[in-house]
Amino acid sequence: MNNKKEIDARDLEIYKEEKPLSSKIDDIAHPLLIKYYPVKGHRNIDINLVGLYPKNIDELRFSQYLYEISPSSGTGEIKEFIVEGFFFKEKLTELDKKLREYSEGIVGLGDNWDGKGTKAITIESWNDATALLREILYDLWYNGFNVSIPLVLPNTDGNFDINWETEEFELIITLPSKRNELVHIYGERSGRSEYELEVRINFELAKGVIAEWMKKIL
Amino acid sequence: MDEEDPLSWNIEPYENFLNSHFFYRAVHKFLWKNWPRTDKIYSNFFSLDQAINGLSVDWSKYATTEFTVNSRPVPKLYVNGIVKINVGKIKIVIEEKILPISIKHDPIKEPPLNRAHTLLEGISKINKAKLKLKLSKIAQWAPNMMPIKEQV
Repeated sequence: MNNKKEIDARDLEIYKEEKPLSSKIDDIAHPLLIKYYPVKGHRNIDINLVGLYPKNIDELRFSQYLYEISPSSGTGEIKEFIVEGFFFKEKLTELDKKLREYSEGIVGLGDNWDGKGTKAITIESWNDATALLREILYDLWYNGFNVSIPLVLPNTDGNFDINWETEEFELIITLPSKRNELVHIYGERSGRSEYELEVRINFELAKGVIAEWMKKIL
Repeated sequence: MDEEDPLSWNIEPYENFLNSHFFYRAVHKFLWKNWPRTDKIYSNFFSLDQAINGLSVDWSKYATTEFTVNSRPVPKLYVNGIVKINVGKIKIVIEEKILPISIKHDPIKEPPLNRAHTLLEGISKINKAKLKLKLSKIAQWAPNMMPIKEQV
């Protein structure tokens, strides 16, 4: 794992960020974050909490871990443990910030927002697009791929595009405004035509296809 | 902008679209106002127009960028910018990428009149993501038609 970090259990504070995006947008799939304040001079006990995945962890489960750890610590000397693969908090914060910027004043627009017959940009389709994006990024970041945060672009037909444009690759994911319609994906790796990706696929399968393609080309 | 009787406007053939010509397209602020760079062209500028089953553009043979911006409900650069796409470059994209796109002159003979109106047809559910990306690579903001972000 690339994201190993040593922390002090006493100083863990689990919290959910309050409404990380605008008030119009829910925080489905938003992970718990961990605050920690390292205290020097304490003995380290390595306990691997392997397999913690942001989307699966919740406050109850994490409390159980702490409960299990605490009795073995006797008088409370044992405070430190290691969490693997869960430290991309800065990236998550940046992701929330960018999504808030992208959505500002756009998500929630009704039909005909340009006076020429455009379709509404709904909260539901925004939530679908950003939920998919979060799943892709969590997967990649968790596995040590340092992928940048893409743009999430509204369309005149009510769809959203998730668009990466980097030196290494370009990828556009067009998400329909209705979840039962197919997601369109087109990607290219710079200078390598054999890695061209062009598919239409169910929403539920899109994350897997995209994340695997990116792992392959990066 | 045309004094002729609109009913006399013919639909012009593909060969009349010269490589030196341009297509113009208005892009509303909700498609660019939140992005980091206003000078850049993004893929969402080329999403399909629902009602006409194609990508709607104005042909430079009969339109200017001023005509295109003035055809918008709010003809101001803080609401609509105008992108231009070179016809010759579109033809190259069509040929190199073997995209089933056709350029069809489609003059609008009822108010609001538009002799320049042209459709890029053949954009389908299969190829639209790819085409939007390709168009974003060859389009530019037209001179003096780059949008202006409102100061908050």
